[in-house]
Amino acid sequence: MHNQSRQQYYESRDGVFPFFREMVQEIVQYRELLFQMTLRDVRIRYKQAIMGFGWALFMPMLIVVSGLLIRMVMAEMSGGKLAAAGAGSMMVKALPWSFFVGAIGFATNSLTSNSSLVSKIYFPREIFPLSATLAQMFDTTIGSILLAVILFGFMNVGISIEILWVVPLVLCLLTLTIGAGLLLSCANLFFRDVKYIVQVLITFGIFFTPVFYDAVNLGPVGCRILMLNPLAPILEGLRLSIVDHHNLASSLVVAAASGQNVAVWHPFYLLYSSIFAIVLFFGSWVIFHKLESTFAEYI
Amino acid sequence: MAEHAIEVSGIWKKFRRGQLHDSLRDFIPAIVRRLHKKNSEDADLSGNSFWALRDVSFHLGPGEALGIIGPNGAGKSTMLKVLARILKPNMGRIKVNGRLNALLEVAAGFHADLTGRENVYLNGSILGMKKREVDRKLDQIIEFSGVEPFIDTPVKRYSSGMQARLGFAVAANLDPDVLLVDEVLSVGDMQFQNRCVETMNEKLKNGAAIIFVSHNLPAVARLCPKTLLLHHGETAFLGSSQEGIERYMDLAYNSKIEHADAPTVFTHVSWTSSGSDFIRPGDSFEIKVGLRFLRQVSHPAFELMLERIKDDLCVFAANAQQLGVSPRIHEEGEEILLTFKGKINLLRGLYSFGFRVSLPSKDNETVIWHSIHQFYVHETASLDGIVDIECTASESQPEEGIIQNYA
Repeated sequence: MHNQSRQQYYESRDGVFPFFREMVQEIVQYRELLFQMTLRDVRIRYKQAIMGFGWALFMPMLIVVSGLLIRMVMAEMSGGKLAAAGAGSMMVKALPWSFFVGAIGFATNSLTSNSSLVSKIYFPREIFPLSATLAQMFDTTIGSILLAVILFGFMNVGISIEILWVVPLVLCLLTLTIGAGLLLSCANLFFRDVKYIVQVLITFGIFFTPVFYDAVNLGPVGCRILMLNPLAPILEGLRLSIVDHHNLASSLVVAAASGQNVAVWHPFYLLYSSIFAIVLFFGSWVIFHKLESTFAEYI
Repeated sequence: MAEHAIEVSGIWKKFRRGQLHDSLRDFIPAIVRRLHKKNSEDADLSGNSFWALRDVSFHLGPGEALGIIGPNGAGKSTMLKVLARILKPNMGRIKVNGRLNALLEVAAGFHADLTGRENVYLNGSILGMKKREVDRKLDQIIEFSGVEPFIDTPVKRYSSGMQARLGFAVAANLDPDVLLVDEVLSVGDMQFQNRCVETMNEKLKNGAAIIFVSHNLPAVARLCPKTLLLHHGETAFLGSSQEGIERYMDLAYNSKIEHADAPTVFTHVSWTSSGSDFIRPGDSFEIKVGLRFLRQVSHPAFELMLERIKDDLCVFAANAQQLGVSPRIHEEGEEILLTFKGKINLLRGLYSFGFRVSLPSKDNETVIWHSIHQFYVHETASLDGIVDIECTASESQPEEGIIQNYA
């Protein structure tokens, strides 16, 4: 009657490399639970919520409107005029930023808000931050569909082959987000003030990421420094490939309003983000998994 | 073939007292330390740690049930959590042949805003069931829980009993090879508890191994022939439940304290009964109490009391005079032997005989009872109650002359 095939040994083992196989196997084994938990997270966001699916669009809309407001003010202050194309670029960047922010926000709290499950039932704890991120992805997918309709239907932004760059960019963003989520959820379990730190970083992070403005606006040196933020290449890459139809495999130099030439894009920037994301992802996962066995004690 | 369903060998688990790593400043070096730390710990501790479990081992075959009992703080919950993989032992190994499910909370993972049906799926997958399995068993689960009319209402509208029933209905339809159960089954009304026990018995018959952690000694004795007694994290006893329970009570009721100016001191206390392993209703007993008088005492009353432990109900109390021993004057240094004989016509439960010597002139409220013997009565022919009234039931055709309309 029972599957005698599976014998399980629970030993206190050491060493980093036996981990990877174990870690991956566990998630695969529990993939149905991951689906159910994601379903749960999505459902509870929309049950009894007056806005229903509108929530998916609220945050990006807010960012775009705020951005437009700031740009209008800046344009007026410096005597120039606001370019209409700015709105489209901002929308393309607002959506992934709100995905990142939303996913991080929920992921950080995912372990502590499920403390009863963590202390009573065994299953790989990675499921908590993962399902929070996936639930956010569901929201963002709805937002992207609407964005696509607006951009390609109403704003006459053409579709070109460069749009395929979206695929590696989105993968990079996902990897980065999941990595950050794993690390932060784990940190918040041990240090309950991490969630407040995260809130502050999110609030001010938007100014250090090219969401309201483009990298070119910071000048040649500023642009390079800005690109150290792993999200910056992703957001700028999305803008350049979708709205400006630029092939990300080649660099782009633009003349800034001040007259200087700014290297707005270099393929190296994408490489940098990808490596950052991969290192963060694997590093966080290993740390998370290693500490997982002590969660129930500290939660 | 006799392969064990679960083998636990040499489990050690230690905890730290106090708080650690309050600030992020301590966090990063601590992580680096942990990643490099080897797992061969000595039996010594550094500073603030204590061993919650020391070298605990046991094994169970399919269809066997083991009870884990012990005083508070003995390590029972820790053992359960280690078995459920919620905590990782510092040393030791657990080998499970098949699937292990822990029932540490019946409505685990229930989310208040989701409906009963949605929660069944969620709960099922948390407990390890695939969606197909839940689909297949859904009707069974809903029917078992008795909340069918409310199955599509959010669970926050359910009473706590309904939630427990639904959660249990999901758990009852699991088919693990090893099942861990703790006090969770003590919530809920009698009908629910009986249902829990029935379900567990059924699973045992189907070949699952059950580990039952509880303070409810009668329930443990009823379900588990074998018991592990934990005390301060160590295996105090592993063997038959009857002996395990008696040893537990020795640990718990260790009162040989004499009152400061007691007139007597015990020289001998013994107990014999006609029951061989468990005591059953109708078994006879004999208690012998030997006393030596420390001073001259006039007409003391020797009192014997039998009480039920779970609620301190006095089942029987009498003094020796009522039972046949006439009071008289006792000289200093005199030794006597009192023998109490009788029959135990009690239903299942834990009982304790107490004895005391009280003086006629003194205020006897303050004289303490000495616990003579604790024992457990085992029977399964009753739902509840105290006294065995030797009741039987039979069915037959109605007799002539009985009133036809009973309404």
